[in-house]
Amino acid sequence: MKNWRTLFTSVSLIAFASGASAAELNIYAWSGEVPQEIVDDFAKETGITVTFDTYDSNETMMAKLSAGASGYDLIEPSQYTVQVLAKQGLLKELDHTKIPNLGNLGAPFREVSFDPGQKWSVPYIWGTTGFAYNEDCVKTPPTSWKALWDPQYEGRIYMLDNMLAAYIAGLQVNGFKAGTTNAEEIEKATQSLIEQKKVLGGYNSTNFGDLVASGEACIVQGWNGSIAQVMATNPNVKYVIPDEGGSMWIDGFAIPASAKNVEEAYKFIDYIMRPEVAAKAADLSKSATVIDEAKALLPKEVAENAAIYPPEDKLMKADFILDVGDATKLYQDGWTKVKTAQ
Amino acid sequence: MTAARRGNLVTLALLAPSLLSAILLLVIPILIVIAFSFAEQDTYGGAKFGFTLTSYRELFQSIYLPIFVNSLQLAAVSTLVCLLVGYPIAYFIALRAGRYAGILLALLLIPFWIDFIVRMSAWMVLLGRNGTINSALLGLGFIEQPIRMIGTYPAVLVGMLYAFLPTTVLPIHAALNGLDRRLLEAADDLGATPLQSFWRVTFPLSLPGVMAAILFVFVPAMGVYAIPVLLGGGKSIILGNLIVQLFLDFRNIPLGAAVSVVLLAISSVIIVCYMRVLRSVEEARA
Repeated sequence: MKNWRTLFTSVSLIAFASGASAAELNIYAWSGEVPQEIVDDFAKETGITVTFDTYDSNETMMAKLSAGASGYDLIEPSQYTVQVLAKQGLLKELDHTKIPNLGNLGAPFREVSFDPGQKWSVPYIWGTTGFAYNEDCVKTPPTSWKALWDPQYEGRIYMLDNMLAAYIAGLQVNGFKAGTTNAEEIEKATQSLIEQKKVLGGYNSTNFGDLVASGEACIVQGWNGSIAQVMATNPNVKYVIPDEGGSMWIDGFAIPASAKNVEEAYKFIDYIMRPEVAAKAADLSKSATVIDEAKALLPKEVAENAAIYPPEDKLMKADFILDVGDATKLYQDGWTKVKTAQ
Repeated sequence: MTAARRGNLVTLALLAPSLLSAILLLVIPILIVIAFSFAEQDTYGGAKFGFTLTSYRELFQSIYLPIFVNSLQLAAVSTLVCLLVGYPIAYFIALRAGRYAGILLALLLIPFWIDFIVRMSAWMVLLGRNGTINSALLGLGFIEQPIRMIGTYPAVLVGMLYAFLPTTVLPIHAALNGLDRRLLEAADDLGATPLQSFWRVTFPLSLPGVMAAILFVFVPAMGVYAIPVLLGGGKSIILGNLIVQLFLDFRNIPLGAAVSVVLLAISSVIIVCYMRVLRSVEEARA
């Protein structure tokens, strides 16, 4: 009798598994933030066929979504991007009953200013925007954005090729807050960024970590995750949150309104919020997790890495960029001027 | 049905596949781009179809003008560099290489079977601070400090030269290859020095090839995107980069479409000029 039941269970399991193999999920996430291993583990566990693409700016992702059917079922926008996408009606309202692991979120991430009630997005990881330097080339440890204007590193300074990120440095070096909507402040920052071009090697938001690790660059503006990844193999690379503040960001998961495989998207969100999965993802991507229980599972060198978990006083000073609304145009015109200046 | 009409129908039937694909893959997309260039834009990146000249008005604002100047300048300098390097190569292959000509042409073309971005990444490795060229120069003791090459204008020109060399060499080679050698013998017999026979016989006869080469380099050079980013550090943007920036970074589809339309218009004007000049050259020869 018992054997019969086992046989019946395994037969139905096989039937279920073969049925599930038709399921698909198309993920579009920040490069370097969702490790391929996590995606593969998920695919193996659920039998869902996962297609995984990456981007290196929120704007690129938004452009694909607003151009119409993008084919993506799950995206990973940053905080201000959640606001913009929600305003455009490009996101699906989340059904919290489909994310049982939602309760695993750490206290600071349960109620976030950019998405009250977690209506549109669920935080995944957080981090900072600052800069990294290579000790082989930079002898006195810099603490200010001013180092990225220093002529002694001419040709070996790189800025993120990302409008809002570049303006964090441009605004803060002038003493203004990142994400301002004040036209005069933006204009001053534009002038500073134009002036900076004389000493720049270039703009890069894809492999800035490699640039500073290889010594091609002395100083690069960067997001901490990619920097912490190269720090793991090259101890000469140091990450700095500048005295002026830098910025803090939260990247989370959201489901586009045009998504076709919604159930699978929920499954992935819930999967990556399991403490052990979140810990593995945080360890591989060298990013800070939003799941408290996951942090406890992390190896010491990650959990105590100041590039990943900066001291509280640094975080208190960091700016948090929200949607700048109509000021977007001021930033865009300024950025075009910066990019065309000779 | 008359024979003439039947002939027309047969021609049409034979042309149908290419005509259809040209309409489907070329004409319709261009019409869509043109339609978008007249659309309206909202702050959050939506484009509403309509008829407004806002995008074109914005385009001729002063902040975009430097990009047009940069693009034309880069295209012109790249074309010149390609000609200076490509002409001697084409000349050698067509008139001096003899039975090795085929092999040389193949060597010129084979690298172009590899993906463009991969080849440009190879240049990043070559020109990098710890790259092949710097290591070699340092090892041989020619330099004390690595030379900075990535992120400079010359690096962009090297990339442009590399990318467009085959399109320069091939048309010039074709023109020189068809050259009637007896003309050169005649020039020689009549006492012309080698330099004189080059300037008065070979070069004028290769002009159609040179002009085709100019066209094949100048027009696509204005729209390149990857070379200024990968080798130039993205510090000097040209029209190709502006289009990407407008579509992807600024989500301003109408303005991006307007830039594309203007780029298309500039290219068309150049092609029309080319055809005019070519005709007058041919008429002068006849």
